[in-house]
Order: sequence, then C-alpha cells, then structure tokens
Amino acid sequence: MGNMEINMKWHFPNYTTGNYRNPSITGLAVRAEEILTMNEDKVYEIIQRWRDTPEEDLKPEDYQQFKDIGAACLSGGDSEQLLKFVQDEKNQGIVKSMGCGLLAPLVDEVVRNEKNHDHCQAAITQLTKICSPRNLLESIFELTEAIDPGAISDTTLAILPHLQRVLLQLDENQAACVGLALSALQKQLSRLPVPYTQQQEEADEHGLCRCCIALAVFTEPFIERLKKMDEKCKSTTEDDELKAEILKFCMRSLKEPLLEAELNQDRKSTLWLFAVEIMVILPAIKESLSGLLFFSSLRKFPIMDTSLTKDSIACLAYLLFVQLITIDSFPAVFNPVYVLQCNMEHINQLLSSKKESYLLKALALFAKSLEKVEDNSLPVGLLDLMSFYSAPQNLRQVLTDCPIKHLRESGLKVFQLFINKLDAEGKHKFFRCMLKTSDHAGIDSYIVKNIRDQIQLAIKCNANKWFLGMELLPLLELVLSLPQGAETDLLTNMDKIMESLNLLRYLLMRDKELRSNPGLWEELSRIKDEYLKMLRVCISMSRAYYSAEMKALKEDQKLKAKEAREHTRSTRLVKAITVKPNKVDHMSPEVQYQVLQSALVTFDLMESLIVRIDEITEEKLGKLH
Amino acid sequence: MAAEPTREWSDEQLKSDDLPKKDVIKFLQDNAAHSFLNEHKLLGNIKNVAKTAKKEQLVIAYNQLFESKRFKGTDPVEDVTELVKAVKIEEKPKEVKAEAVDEGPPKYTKAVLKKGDKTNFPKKGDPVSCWYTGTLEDGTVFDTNIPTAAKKKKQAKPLSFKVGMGKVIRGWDEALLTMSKGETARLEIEPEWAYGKKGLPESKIPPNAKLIFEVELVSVD
Repeated sequence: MGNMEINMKWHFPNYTTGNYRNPSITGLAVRAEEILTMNEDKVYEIIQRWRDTPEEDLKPEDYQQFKDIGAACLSGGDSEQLLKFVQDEKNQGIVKSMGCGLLAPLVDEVVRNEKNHDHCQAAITQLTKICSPRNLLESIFELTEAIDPGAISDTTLAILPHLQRVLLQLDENQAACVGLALSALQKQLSRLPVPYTQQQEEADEHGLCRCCIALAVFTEPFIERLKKMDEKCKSTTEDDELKAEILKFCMRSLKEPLLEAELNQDRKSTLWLFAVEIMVILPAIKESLSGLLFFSSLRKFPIMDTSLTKDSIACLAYLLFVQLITIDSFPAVFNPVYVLQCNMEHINQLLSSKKESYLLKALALFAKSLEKVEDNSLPVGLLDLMSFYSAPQNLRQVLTDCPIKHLRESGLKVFQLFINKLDAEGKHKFFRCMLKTSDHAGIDSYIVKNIRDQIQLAIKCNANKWFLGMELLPLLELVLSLPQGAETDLLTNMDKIMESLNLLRYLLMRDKELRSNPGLWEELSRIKDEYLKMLRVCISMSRAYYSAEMKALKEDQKLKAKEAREHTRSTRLVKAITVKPNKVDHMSPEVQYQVLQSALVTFDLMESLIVRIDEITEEKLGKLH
Repeated sequence: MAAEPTREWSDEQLKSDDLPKKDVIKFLQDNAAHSFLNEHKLLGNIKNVAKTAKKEQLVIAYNQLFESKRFKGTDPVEDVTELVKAVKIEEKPKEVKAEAVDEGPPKYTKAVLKKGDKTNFPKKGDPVSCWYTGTLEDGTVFDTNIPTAAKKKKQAKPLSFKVGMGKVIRGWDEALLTMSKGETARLEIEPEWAYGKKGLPESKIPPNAKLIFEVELVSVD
C-alpha cells in the first residue's frame, strides 16, 4: 500500500481499495444477477450510484429497479441479505428515499413464507424507522387496496403493528390517517364471511375473529392519547377528529361483523371479546351509552352514514340489554317504559331486515325490553308512536312470511308478550288495528282468541268498558265479518272463522253478564244474526262449488280410464283431455280428491258449530221466558 | 224557645224591587228552621242563594214561614248534625277534585343534605344534570356516576336528561322537581316509584326494593 492509500484508509475507513466491496451490496447484486440476469458488477455500480444521488435526482426507473432488485432477493429465498442491506448504515440514504417500494414485496413474503418471517419483519421495522411516514402510509394503503382476497387476514395481521408505529410518528393529520387506515382495513375485512356456529368461530378459518381483536389492540394507543388529552381539559380539533374516527370504527364494527355474529354470553368467543372491547372503547372516548341509545348523540357527528348508524346503534342496544355487556356501568335510573320506547326504534330497525342474525337479535331485544314492564301497563298513547306501530307490523310479517321455523316460534311468543303488556284500551286498539290491516287468517284467529281471553277476564274480575261495554261492539264487527261477503274463500279464512264462531258460542254462554248492558246485547245479537246469515249463504255456495269439482274429477277419471283402455286397443293417438283448471292442478287425482273431500268436511264442521250456536240461542231464549 | 219573629214586610213590600232578595234571604236564614230552609233551598251562602232563588219564591217562602210557624228551634235536636251536613252539600266548593289524583301520598322521602340556591327549580321538560349514588337498604351501592378518583371528576360528566317526562323512575322525576340548583338530597324511594315487583336484577336491584339515592342537582337549563 502506498502512502496515499494508507491515508485514505485512516480518514475514510470504508474506502474501498481494489477488490474490497461492501458485502451488503454484493449480496444484493449476486441475487439480482441470478434472478434478473443483470450483471453483478452492473448492479453493484447502480447501487453505488444511488448512494451518491440526492433524492430529488432519483427517477421513477430507479425506484422500480430498486424494488425489482429487492423482490428478486426475496424470491431467491435470501431475505437475510435484504435485511442486511436495509440495516446497513451506508445504505440509509437509499432506504430513506426508495425503501417504501420494498414494503409490498416484504409483506408478501411474510404472508407466503413462514421461513423468512423474522428477517422480513425486521426489515419492515427498519423501513418504518427510516422512511418518511407519509411515503410509508401511501405504500401501505396501496398494498391494502391490492390485497390478495385469499390472504386478507394474514396481510392485515402482518402490517397492523407496523402501521401503528408509523401512525404514532405522525405529527400532523394523525386523526385523518388513522381514520383512513381503519376504514381501509375494515373494508377488506368485510369481505370475509362471518362465522355463525361455535365450530366455525373456533376454527376461524378466514381469520376474521383474530383480525378484529388485532384491530381493537391497534386502536389502544390512540385511545390512550385521547384519555390523556382530556385530563388537560382542553380538546383540540385534532382530538375531536381522532375521537370521531375511533367512533366511526366502533360503529362500523358493530354492524360488521358483530350484527351478523352469533354472540352467546355463556360461551365467551373471540367475537364476544371483540364486542366487549368496542363497548369499553365507547365510554373511554367519552361517548356515553345512554347518550347513544336514548338521546341520539350521534347526531353531533354528521359525517356518519345514517343507514350504517341505525344498524350499529341497534346492535349496541342488543349487546347492552340482552348480552348484558357493561350493564353494570349503565345508569340504573331509567324508567323501563322509557327504555322500551327507545329500544322500539332499534327493534324496528332490525325487524325490517330479512337476515336471520338480525331477526334473532331483534326478537331477543324485544322480549327483554317487554319483560321489564308490568303486565297491562303500557298506555294506549304509545301505539301512536311510529316505532310502536311498525314493529308489530314487521313482527307479523315475520310470523307469516319467514321461512325459518324457530324465528316464527319465537316471534309468536314476543307477539303475545307485547299484547300482554298493553293496558285494556291499548289491547283494544291493537286488536282493531291488526284485524283492519289483516292479511293472514292464522294471525286473525290468534287475535280473536286473545279477544275472547280479554272478555273472559273482564267478566271474571276486571270489568272494563273496552271488553265488556259498548266499546266491545266495533271490535266484534271486525271479528264477525266475512272479508268478501258471501264470496269469501272459506278455506283460506277457516282459522279465523272457526275462532270467531267459538267466540260467539262463548258470548252466548255468558249471556247473563252481557245482557246486563241491554244496548250491548241488542247490538251484539244483530251483528251475530247478520254474520251467521252471511256465513250460511257462503257455506252453501262453497259446498255447491266443491261438490261440483268432485263430480267433475270423478267424471274426468272415468273418461281417462276409458280412453286408456281404448288406447291399448288401438295405436291411434289419444286426444288429450283438457281438465278445467283449478287450485289442485298439480296434485295427483287421488290427492286432489282428498283435498276436495276435506274441504267439504270443513264446511260440515262450520255448519255444525253454527247449529250449536243456534241451539244455545234457543235455550237461552227459552230460559228467559 | 224564642219569641215568634215579627212579620216586617207586607206582600206589596216583598214584591217591590226596592227590597233586595238578600234581605229576605237573610231574614229567612236567621229565623226559619233548618228543615224549612232545606226544603225551600235557602241554605248556604246568601249570595249564592240570591243567584238561584227568584223573588217570587222568596215571597212564597216568607209567607209560608209565617203560616207554618216553622221557626228556628222548632226542629228536633237530631237535625243539628243534618244542618252541618246540609250546609256542606249546599255550599258546593268550587274545587271538587281531590288533590292526589293518582295513588295518594308520594312514595318517596327527601332529606336535604346541602341547600340549593332555592331559586332555580326545574320545570317539567327542563334538562337537568346530576351526580348520584344509589344504594339498597342494606348499603350495597348498585350504581353511581361519581368517579372514584377525585381528579377524574373533571373528565366525567353528570347524568343529563329532561326531568318530569317519565324518562327516569318516578321517584326521581317527582323529587327533582322539588330541588333547586346546587341542592344535594337523600331520597328514599319506595319500589312502586322505582323498579317495583320486577326489580332490575342485572343492575343488582332485587324485586320490591326500596332505593336510596344521594343526588346532587348540578345544573338546570
């Protein structure tokens, strides 16, 4: 070594002489050569050049090339080399300018390859320490948008800790960026199916449950920051923005996945724990549950999408009142009728859905809220509220249209519970409303049965004008009526008609109590007579029609049999016989016959009940005279 | 027995407009037996009787009094109690409605622990804010919104709602309307005006529980 070289070595320890090459660059260059078929020396040169190039002079080609080299290194299985490069002090300039390009390939490698996990994570950590937070965020958002649908949860879990670190470094616009991050990730997670059986949840095949918990953990330092700010008693717009973003996160979580999940307090699954996290975050950011549930405090945040928030708040009500999450810190001073009133809006919101998970929660919340009020206590005025009108209507639709049996069964229980809680006038109004807006004989018959029970109660102990006074008449008009007069289809309306005849029979048996109000009795008799007269006409018309149908069917069978015999004798084509189209078209003749037969039996049944009613009327008249 | 009163006015004088009805009524009330007055509907406040009685009726009554001689003291003694009763019936008070429209006496008691400003009382529908602690009779605290650490009270907010609207248990609604801003009171609420037969088990309130609240009315808007 000459003197000059010795001097250089003293002053510039990294000075390369002759064949000495920086090992980290060498490693990269070797890989690049292998995979990109670039000349190793060329790569080395390029990288050296980059080291000396200020950031402003770097071109897009440089960024792309750097990314390709890094990716090549990884695909060659040598993450360690890349890590060394990135950690090397001398390369910090390059990493700072162009390091973000490595993020996507590194995350990809973490997700796909268990083997190189540690190196890659360490490399990413280094990037987050050196690169500018803005550039990092841009890259992270880009790779989130382009997430592989098959690797949503793995990718999310891989980037969350890094994302958190980057966001915490932000000096300004932190709230907005936190908001963007949460919304981007939740958007991806919403693509994953929500488990709804215990097995599915435990398996967590798509990783949704794990990601939810990870997201909750992710938000922790930001919530801590909000808590600390509060202590100083002066909140800045930045704090308010951060609070709004966290609140949006909670609202989105409540709708997806929590509203779809099957939560069970006996089995504290991962999603249950996530629900608890959300319920704890809300008071931590100073959003009281009573404010959200009762006093519409979300209206302060106009940026929220209202269709989202209605579902979210409904879920919140369910989690609090049915699953009892954080109920012990909820004020125990509210009037149960008021709580029911507020919950009715949420119940109605969920009842309007067709999703099983939503309906289950609606019915549970409905039942729970009703159970807290005394029987016969809800005043009739409540029925004027939109939600109190709509919820039972929606419930009725579940009872008649929902294909899921257990929902119809629970629904019926809630329906009866609702009736039980109304006071006498309320019941009266409700029955009238249901009968007027009727579209299903089964429901009607259920209402008529309830009316009978109320009259019975009124007679026994609780006489009131609604069920034992003149007010009973408008109700009876609705019960003892045929919707299409003499042309009413007796079969579809059978349930209601049978029940109303039963009611009539009951009223006649209790004539003593009813006659004590002569005006009532007189009107009742008139209504009865008109009804029975119409019903008799209707029955005889129906009977005639069905008998004719049966006869036509028999004739048709005979004809078919005859022609079948003829056909076996001749090879001629038999002309198809057209049968008069009727309801029982798609059934076999035997079944058709049975249906018609049972229709006639039904008419017999109705008629025998009418006869019995007439008998009782005669008996009573006889006794009076 | 008192001497028979003298007949002061002649028929002509009675019928004359110069003689006000009130004078005739007064004479009759002073001198006629209670039963007589009752029959002729002359009992009660003179002004009221004057409104309802026509002059002709009073003339007739006056004459009949002297004819029948049913002066004061001619009724049997028992009628004294009837007198008292009859007066009450005739003197129909304007306000017939009983004060307690609902169930009777209030089902809570209030003991003032710290006086309020005695000026700002909330009305029905006013928003109010309170700090409170609720305990059962056995001393169990079932609810409070007062944070344990003193410094945290700066961050916590009192419970706010519109009073007298049925949003809270009746004991609270009724009691708060009697409190003024700044007042702290101890309320003992019977179950009928709290959570009644059902209680609120998830908040540790058993059925038929009497609740004790210490409430501070922080603000009235």
